[in-house]
Amino acid sequence: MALLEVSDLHKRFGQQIVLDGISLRFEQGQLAGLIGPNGAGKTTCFNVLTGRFAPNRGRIVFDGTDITGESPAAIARRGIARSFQLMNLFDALSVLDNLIVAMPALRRRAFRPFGAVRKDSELAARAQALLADVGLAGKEYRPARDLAYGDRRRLEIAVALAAEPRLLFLDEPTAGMGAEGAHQLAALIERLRERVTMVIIEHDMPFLFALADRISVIQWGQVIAEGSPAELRADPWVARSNLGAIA
Amino acid sequence: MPPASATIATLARPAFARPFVLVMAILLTAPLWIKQAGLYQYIALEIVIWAMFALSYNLLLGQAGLPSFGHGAYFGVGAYAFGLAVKHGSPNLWLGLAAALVAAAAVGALVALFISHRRGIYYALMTIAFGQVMWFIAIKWHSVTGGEDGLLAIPRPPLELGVASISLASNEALFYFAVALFAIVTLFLWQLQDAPFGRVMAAVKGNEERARYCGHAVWTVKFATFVISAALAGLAGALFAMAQNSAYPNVMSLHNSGFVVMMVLIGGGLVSFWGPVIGAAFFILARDLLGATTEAWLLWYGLLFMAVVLFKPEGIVGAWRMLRARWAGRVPGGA
Repeated sequence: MALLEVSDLHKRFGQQIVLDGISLRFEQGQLAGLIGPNGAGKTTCFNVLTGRFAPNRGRIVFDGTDITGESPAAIARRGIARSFQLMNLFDALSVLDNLIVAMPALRRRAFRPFGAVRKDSELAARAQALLADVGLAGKEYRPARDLAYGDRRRLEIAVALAAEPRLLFLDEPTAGMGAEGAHQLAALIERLRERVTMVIIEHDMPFLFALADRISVIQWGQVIAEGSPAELRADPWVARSNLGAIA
Repeated sequence: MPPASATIATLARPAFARPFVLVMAILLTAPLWIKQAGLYQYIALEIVIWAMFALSYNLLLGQAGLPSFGHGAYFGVGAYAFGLAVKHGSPNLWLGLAAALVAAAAVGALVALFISHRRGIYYALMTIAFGQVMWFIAIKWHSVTGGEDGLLAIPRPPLELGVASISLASNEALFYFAVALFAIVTLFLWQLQDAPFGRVMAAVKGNEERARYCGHAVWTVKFATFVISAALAGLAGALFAMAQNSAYPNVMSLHNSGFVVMMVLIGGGLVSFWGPVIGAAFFILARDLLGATTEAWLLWYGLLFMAVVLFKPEGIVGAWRMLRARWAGRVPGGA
């Protein structure tokens, strides 16, 4: 059984059909990629899968449970986390607190009115380890808003990871990161793939083709091709589009 | 060293002990020097009460980022509940205070049910609307609230401590009692900021959407914050009813709700835990000192408020920090 199974997802905004019968399967432990031109429906797909919008039709089954139409918080509590294409951080909070508020260990006692979080060495140690993982060590007490762009992107991913997800959606993680940043990110994703199932939206084709086990091509709100990077390279339709040329 | 731009409830926070001891030292010695300073005991009592109200309000505005512009309602509900409990129930201090806390929390919960899915200007407008409803009820529900006259001759029941019974009839005795409650409220609110709930409030303030995606029950967090804030405002209201020996609709009015906002913002509640306390003292002193020279003191205070909002939104505490940074030869606001 797939970890996430999406069948026949439809999403309309007014007259505009954004998702037109998308079906996807993400297997446990797999690293999947979503590619496609701008406006193809990739981010909307993430938004529907993580609860921001309810689909007009279709079913989303996570680990055997139907989660269609659940709220973002409910879906997050099931172990699905996401990063955002446009960064979505707790700007006024320190880098460390950005991670701590995202941790299930804190969430489980969110309503406890006593006990200093600052003195919780377990939470801090976990956050420090994450910061080291994403390359933000030494910046834990900076407010998130003071970070440089690349560091904000790293923090964006770290916040999603802090939730200890079983399934992680990354929406264009390399955007604006530069070659060096993208390289470090690829190394991070390599380290993570043992621990978490990932789905990545990306425009950087070499980046994604080097990492993904399986890639789905989305266009006009539909999945128009699917397969391993090698299969997609050999696909005549993909080869004829510029997607294949980049890869 | 956290930069000056960091909001409260995050980063490595300043120590609590020193400012707490300083505030307590000033308050506890106040009866000794207040007459020499040209003031009188009652003003110190009123400052403590408003400081408690302002701190409870800042839990909502400063820490959770929820703008309530009708918070006088819960202060007023506390005042009325205290009055009703000790006049018609039994003249017991603890009963009165408990009634004020519970009534303000209950009314706060009722309102929070209707507004916790809102934010920003919609949240603010709905708090005003509910505040006005409460004010109107206070005026019209004559048989319970005494109408426009309010509840009169509310007694100050003695402080029963099992072994001893201490009269709170004098303003000085009531002042010390208010300071004791103020200390408890302060300690509670201070450690709350740093507790898990405080962190989650800060997360909701910073980014409701991301908090949701972290699995937080944002609605419930906003609801609970409102209830706690309303309950503590009600406690301050109970002290006010004792101080004034009465409860009247004016304490629930829109301008009373506005006063607490002005205290919190001028003091620096957005950047400092102690800002509301400084702002409350500043406001009450300005009211009496300016009010002694001109009827139009609120005009001057209002202008000052506008100047603060325009030029130094971090308030008195923000200005103080900037000056200190300058004296220390650092670039102000620099990290």
